[in-house]
Amino acid sequence: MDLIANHGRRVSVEELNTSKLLAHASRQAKERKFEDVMIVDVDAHHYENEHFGEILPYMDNEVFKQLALASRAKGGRGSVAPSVFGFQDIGGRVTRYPLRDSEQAGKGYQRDIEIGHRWMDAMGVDYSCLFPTGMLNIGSHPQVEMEYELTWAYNRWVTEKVIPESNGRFFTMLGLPMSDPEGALKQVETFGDRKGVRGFMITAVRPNLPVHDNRLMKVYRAIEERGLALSFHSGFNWTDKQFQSCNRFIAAHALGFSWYNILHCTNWVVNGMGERFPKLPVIWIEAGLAWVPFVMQRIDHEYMLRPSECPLLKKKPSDYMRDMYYSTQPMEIQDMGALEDTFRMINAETQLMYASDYPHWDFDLPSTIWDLPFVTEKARHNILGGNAARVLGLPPRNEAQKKNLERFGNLKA
Amino acid sequence: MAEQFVAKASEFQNGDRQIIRVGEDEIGIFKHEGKYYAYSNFCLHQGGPACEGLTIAGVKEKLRDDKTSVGLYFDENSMHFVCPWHGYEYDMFSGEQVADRRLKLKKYNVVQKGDEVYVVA
Amino acid sequence: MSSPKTQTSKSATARPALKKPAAAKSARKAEAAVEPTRAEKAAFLKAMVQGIKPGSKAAEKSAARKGPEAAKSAKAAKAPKAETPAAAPKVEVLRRISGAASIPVTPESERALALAKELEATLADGKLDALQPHAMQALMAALCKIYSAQDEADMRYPVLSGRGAVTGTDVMIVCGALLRAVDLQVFELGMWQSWSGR
Repeated sequence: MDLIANHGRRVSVEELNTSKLLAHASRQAKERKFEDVMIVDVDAHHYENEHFGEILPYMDNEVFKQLALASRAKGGRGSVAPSVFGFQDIGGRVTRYPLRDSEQAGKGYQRDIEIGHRWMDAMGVDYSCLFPTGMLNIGSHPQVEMEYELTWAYNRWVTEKVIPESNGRFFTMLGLPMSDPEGALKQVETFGDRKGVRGFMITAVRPNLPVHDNRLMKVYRAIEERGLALSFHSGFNWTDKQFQSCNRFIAAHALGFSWYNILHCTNWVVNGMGERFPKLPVIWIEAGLAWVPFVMQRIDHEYMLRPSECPLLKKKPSDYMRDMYYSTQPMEIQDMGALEDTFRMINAETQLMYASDYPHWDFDLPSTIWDLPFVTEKARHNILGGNAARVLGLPPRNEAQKKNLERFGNLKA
Repeated sequence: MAEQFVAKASEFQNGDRQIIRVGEDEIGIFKHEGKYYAYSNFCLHQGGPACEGLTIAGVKEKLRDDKTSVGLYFDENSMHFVCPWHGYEYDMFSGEQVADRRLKLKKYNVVQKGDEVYVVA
Repeated sequence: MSSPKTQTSKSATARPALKKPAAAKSARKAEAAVEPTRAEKAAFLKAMVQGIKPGSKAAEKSAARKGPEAAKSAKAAKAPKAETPAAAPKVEVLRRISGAASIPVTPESERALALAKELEATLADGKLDALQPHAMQALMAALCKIYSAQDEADMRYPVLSGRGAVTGTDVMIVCGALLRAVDLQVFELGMWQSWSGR
């Protein structure tokens, strides 16, 4: 396989094999005896757009299904789902993007399961929460009906095909059509009890979504009643108004992933959602961690001056934020002191959940948590999997893991 | 430290690379513009296979005297190799991480004896 | 589906017995005790930058965390290294990654390269009359026709090998001369480019 470098110069690289690419990760897992530690990755991805041929037939409405299928027919020039500009692969420097097609694996959704198991085995991950990639931008779709139809089709496909055949190692938090509260409720009611569904997810790239909208309360209540989790998966959209001055992808990406979760988390907190749904576990995903102390400081500061705007709150905004959960990745590890403070501020020992984000470009290995100098053994185990096991009800995969979960109070009977 | 045989020089073309394991270490040996360079194959970031990704010239930005930007260009006098896991970019000549040159991959000496190339490891 | 490997990779294989869970209170105490010192944190940062050197104290410490067997082998790694530094470890070739696909040698290309080198030398020597107009015209015409034919045949590549090959002024002079030679205006070139998408 050739990759293109400067001035059209071609550089030969081997075809992609995830196990081989991650050989050093396997070594790390072996050295750290990760097989005794239950590791849950609360954010991993597949490229569902490669399987639209399988997914679109699950659409419900015949007219939208015909539109979608026709746009994909040979010679069709339509575009089914929103897509975003960007260069995640840094011009091919992150080689698994351009080499994706070259990996030898099964066909269709089986391919995603097989490749998924390769990276999980290499890293020592027991369970992965499988999220889509392109569909994370479904919130940018101008048609409410199409947003509903596409999430419906994906949610059926992933719960009927992918999850059931993943040997119990993939679970999911299904994306909801938040522009259509009735439709979102229907999807919670339809899919909430399916095997491998541990929660529902709001694709956070929705700058116009008021998460506190009265019409959405029934959706949150339905999730809470089922004992499931609600997650906000962040993303970026370079074309959103606030990023249009960014001339470099790094700016739109670095700010975007934090921004959408900052926005929704702030609205969630100041509107007293923590008081309204005290039993609903809320997980903030893929925004990194550096934003959390910022928002805590900022809202606490203003709350002390303007409590009249947040009458539902019975404690400081940061206290509500400490009741919620955060995924680790992409963990900003540049200033170790700041990271240590962040862990303290969010009660990382009980509230932080490891995420790899594999195969995306800025994935984190479990060793990024395991090797931190300032975390206790309990925190290390909890963050890597114990917290997720406890909150999402995932069982250990061997005796040693069971003992470790028991030891730190994370074993859910 | 001992000299470890890498390859025959006559079979090692410019742009070729070889990754070898010596005991517990992995070393990437590059041939670039007639010279050999050898570095640890463990990325300083998260331990990825630092020497197995794309090789590409460094990107620079040219400014005019009035501080306005002319734009980006590839610096043809440079060559980088990039860890395929996350894009950590290293200087071929020094093994320095180009975003923070205080970070350096372990460098190994390469010697050529006749038609044989050895790395000292 | 999914390979059997995936099922067994982290499942029951022989592993050392775990320590008995301590009482909650003493466990908390133990955790407080394992809080690393400033120096240890600094060493971690250093290790992040430099990698942990085998045989070093840091390596022993990290191995100790992994279990008794790893600790033993980390300690062992130190001793022979000091005593028998020349012990030759086994070399294993993991991968050979070839450079760019080799360029086929054709006699015409070889002669063209030699001629280009010769002409560049005349320029360096200031012999501007070395290449007479009729020779320049023949060469330029042949290059234009061949490059265009290759482009039509989807054999596309940058016309110059790098940024330093010629200056922007060189290109403007030659392009202007070429356009004049076939009586084309710049706007016609622009129109053709926008229509043809090239």
